[in-house]
Amino acid sequence: MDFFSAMNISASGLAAERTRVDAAASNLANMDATRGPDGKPYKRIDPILAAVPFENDMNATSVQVMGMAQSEAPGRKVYSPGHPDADGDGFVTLPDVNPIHETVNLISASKAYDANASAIETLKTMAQRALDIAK
Amino acid sequence: MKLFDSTVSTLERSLDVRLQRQNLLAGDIANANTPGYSPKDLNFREAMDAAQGVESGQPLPPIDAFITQSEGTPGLDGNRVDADHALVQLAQNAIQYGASARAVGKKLEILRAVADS
Repeated sequence: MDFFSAMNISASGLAAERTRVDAAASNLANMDATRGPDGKPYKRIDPILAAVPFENDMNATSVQVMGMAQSEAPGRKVYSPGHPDADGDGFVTLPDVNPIHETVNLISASKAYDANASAIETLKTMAQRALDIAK
Repeated sequence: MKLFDSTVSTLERSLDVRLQRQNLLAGDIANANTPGYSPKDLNFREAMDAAQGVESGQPLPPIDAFITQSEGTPGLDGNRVDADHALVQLAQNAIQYGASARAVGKKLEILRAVADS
């Protein structure tokens, strides 16, 4: 257990929070995308975070993104007969993205990112104090 | 009378325990958004008490036994991390680490003064 393991733990937090920001950004950008990679409306994504023991230390816990969950919710139906992806009744299926939900996620992820960054900053001060012993 | 008495080894232990605690708190902050995660902390007093009884030259007891798991109120996702609390503890722990480090430095300064005289 040394200074760099604590830094790596905080770095795992930074990576996880950045993934949350990426997912929220992707969801917001695609909230009106009627054609995803499979030709169907875009599906909302959500990262799955899991606490994992850090390297061989069973006590300290880092965080890892285990994957992206895709929303299987049906999506919003909007009446728009002129739309190229409208069905026979004139309804278009838009992705199941709630912009308020995504914005809140964005703020929460950004705050948590800051917390991890300040943990790294504190650790750097500690390491400097340890180096000062020999001064 | 030994040159390096128990002061340095006690301070050394306190630096070890402080660093271990810092790691746990950093893990808590990293997992502030992990569903179902319970934050961990370290009982500094107990870890230091256990080290006091050990004779010099003997290995110190592992710190694992003094780790506590918080029982705070879980959020909707079962996460019990209080980020503000964890950050305050992190800052306090770093200051206390600095104090221990400073004390080791002073002790060594005294020894150096003796050696130089």
